[in-house]
Amino acid sequence: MTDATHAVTQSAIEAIAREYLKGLGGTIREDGRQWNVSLPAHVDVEFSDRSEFEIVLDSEESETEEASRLLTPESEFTQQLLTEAAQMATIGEVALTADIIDRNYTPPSWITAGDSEVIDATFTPYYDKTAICLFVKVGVETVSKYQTQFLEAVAVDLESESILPRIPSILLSKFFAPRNVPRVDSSVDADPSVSSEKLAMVITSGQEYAVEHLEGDIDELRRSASESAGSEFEEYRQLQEQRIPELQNEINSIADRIQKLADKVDTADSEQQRVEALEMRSELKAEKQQAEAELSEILQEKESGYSQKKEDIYDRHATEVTTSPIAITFVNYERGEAEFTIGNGKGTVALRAPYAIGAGVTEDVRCQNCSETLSESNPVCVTSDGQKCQTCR
Amino acid sequence: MDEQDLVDIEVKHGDSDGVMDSYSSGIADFSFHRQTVIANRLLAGQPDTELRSLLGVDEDQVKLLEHQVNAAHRALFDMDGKALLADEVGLGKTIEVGMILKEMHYRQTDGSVLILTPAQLAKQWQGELREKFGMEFVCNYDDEFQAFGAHDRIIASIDTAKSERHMASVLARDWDVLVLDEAHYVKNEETDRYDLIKKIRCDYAFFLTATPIQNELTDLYNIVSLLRPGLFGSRDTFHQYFVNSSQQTLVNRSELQRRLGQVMIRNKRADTNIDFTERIIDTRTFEPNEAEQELYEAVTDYVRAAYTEDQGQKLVLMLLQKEVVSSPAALEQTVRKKLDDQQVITHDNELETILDKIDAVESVTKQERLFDIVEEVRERVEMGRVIIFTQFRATQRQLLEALDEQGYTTHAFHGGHSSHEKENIVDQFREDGGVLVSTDAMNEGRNLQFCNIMVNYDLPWNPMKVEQRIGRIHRIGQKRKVYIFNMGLKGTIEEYVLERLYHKIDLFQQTVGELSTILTRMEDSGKTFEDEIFDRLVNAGSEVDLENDFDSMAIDLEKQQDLSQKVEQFNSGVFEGFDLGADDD
Repeated sequence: MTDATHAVTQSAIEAIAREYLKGLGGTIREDGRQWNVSLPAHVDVEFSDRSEFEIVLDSEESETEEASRLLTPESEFTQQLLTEAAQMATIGEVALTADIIDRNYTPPSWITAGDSEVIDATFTPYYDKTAICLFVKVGVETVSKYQTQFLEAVAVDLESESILPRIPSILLSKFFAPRNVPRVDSSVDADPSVSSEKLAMVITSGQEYAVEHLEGDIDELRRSASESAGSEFEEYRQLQEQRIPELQNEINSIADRIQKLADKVDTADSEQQRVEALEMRSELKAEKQQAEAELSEILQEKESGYSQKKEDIYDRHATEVTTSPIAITFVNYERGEAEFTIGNGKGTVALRAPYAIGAGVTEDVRCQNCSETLSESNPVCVTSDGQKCQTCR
Repeated sequence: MDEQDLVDIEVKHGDSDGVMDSYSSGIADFSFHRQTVIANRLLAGQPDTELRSLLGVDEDQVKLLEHQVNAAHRALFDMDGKALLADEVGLGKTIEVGMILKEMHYRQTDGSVLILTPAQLAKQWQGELREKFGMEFVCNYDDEFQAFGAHDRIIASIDTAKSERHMASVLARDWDVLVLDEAHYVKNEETDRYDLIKKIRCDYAFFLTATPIQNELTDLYNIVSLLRPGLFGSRDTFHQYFVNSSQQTLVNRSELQRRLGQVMIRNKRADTNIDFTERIIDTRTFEPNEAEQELYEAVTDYVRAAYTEDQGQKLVLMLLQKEVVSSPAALEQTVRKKLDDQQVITHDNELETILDKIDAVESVTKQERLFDIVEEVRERVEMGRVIIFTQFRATQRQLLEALDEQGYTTHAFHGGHSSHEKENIVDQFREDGGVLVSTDAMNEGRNLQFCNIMVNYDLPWNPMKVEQRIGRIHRIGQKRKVYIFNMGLKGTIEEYVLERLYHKIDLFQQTVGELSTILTRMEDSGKTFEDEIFDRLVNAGSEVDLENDFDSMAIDLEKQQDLSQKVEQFNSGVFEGFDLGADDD
């Protein structure tokens, strides 16, 4: 699993725009910081209703040329162009061969952890395997921090469903880097044959892996959302605590006024005055009841630790993680056997191990001397008697 | 944080219908698929976080330091454009904001910018942003300033912004960027200033202060809450969790550092590579000759009498008082102009007498002693280029004439030159050496690190201007010792200002930035430094009174300086051990 995002630099967007427009059959005449673009008449793009238009690469110059499209990291035109390109061909295929990785075979940790150096490495391919590299968009949404987006690349072997952690980074650097068009032939002889059901299943496990990989980031966002919820609740709690004495004062003051009105009813000079006092008293009683109801509600809430409000606030701040698969690259990768020739001052030995391009050594290897499994903590050693391991040395 | 205090988390895996449909239609050509994947990578990527505008910064005008670039970068990209820049004094917070604003301008996210500063610093901000970053702002003290709704890039004193006349228009619009200098002045939530900042609507905000905490730790809560409401929770929570009962220290420091780190950047001097060379100050006061003494007394008597009668002509009277200690030539020009302009003839006899006394001055003491200084330093200092500052063009002309007569290579620099001419003058001075006689127009953004000797032939009554003069030659990049000579006439206002005020606060040895903290502390009195000096001069009943008055002003200054140092030390103590500086990533 690998972070597949790429920094939106000026050079990166210029590279993808150039490639995309040419891919549509267009021609670009570059004139300093301005491109004059001509697209074939049949090509229909969202960002231009004309087949000939100009693109300006510099925000300083764009102010004078209103009709131009501005190609800079934050510009609207860049967003439109990328959005179109992003939906164009979501399924693709590459072949991962020894040539792609420049025959740089990755030695296993049971070699690198020892005291020997790799002098030579060769690889003999036996058969091809198929994996998918799934590009998964992961969004984490909270109320306080609207949405954080991630793009993860996960490679899964189609047969064994095992994760192939090194493949995504090789693909990203060798095939999917904006300014680095692959030098080698990336075409595949035969299309993969995998059932839709199987593919759907592997995609789902890829989505799950992507979320697992982002656990640290997601936890951090959840924590920050929880802090926001906590402080919102705390403010609410304080407000209520302040309200309690306020309401108590209010009730007392209304009660006083009611008492005074009661006296007034008893001592009224006329019927009209008595009726007015009674009406007023009844209004005040209603007001008092309302304040008492509010107070009682707050006191009840307080008793429960404002649990309902707390729940509401925390619910509102809940973190939602969504994943969506947005593209798949089928990867044909070679499996076979690698031979690492290692040595130190005492001599050299050759070691063979099952190997897959992009995945490295795929199976456990045992010490030829004592049959102990080689590992980072039990690395291979070269002695004057040949190969040994840490255990039998 | 306990598990029960965490909000719920829900994971939803979206269906794969979209990609499955594409799969059923077949595998696409690799080149198109490549474009699709790259486009998705870029759509999900963060905008480029290089400071792209840096290429456009003129390195001759401003030397950007690593900690400043880091601070600007973090404020913009890691803190989402809401940051408290709290570097220790003298590390260039203004430069950091300049870079931020320049970058925002480059990215076209700075449609409207409001910079609020203490009154005394507004013009300085305007000058620095123009000189160092080529950015034009209107200042509320400019004639062209109309209202807060009428310009998009404004530097204003915070008190003007909160005034009854302007507040409504400040609050009536949505600002893209708000910059608040000396942000500790809004520490108190019960003040109008705090209320104003709280109500201003803006997308991005940058607050500057070397001392976020003035009196108590709540100050920090108040300032940070203006930038990031809720970061510390409620006021009570902050107190319960982060402040010990004695109000003197912060507790739960690692959690506090984590939260502060989201909004506050504090670089410490000790962590930067800023290293200034030694500064040697040589103040020389000279006995005026008899004619000069008489002239000085006549002018001072005239100024006192005229001011008592009509305070409206304060500026011109202040000018006369400054000119008399600069040169008779400077004084003569103003006196003649005043005689010509005067519609109602008042004190014309005194003015005529002053002219006679100017004529009577046959030799100008300061000018003669200047030759001694120039000769002395040029012999002592290798590559001895000398810059002489005066406030007045007439003095400048006279000095140039006299130096020419003595056979020196001279250069003149004043505000009347075009910027192209100014550039040529500085180039010539660099190449030919000799003596450059300059007015304070030199403050406008010229760096003269190749020169290390400065003479203050006369002294502005505004210490910020003195600081700016020194800053021309004593800045980062100066590799040699810097010599500063101050000249003054004994028994005159100049001597008081020099000896009793400027030396008391060690003005000539202060690092950039220290002075502004002292002066802004005094700002509440509502008077400028120049006013304070002038008022003392004209109101003193006797020589003894005058001495006492200046002494008490010096005590005030020292008190403010002392306070500002104490606050600085307190802040250093509070944040000791906090890593809020450069990002390790």
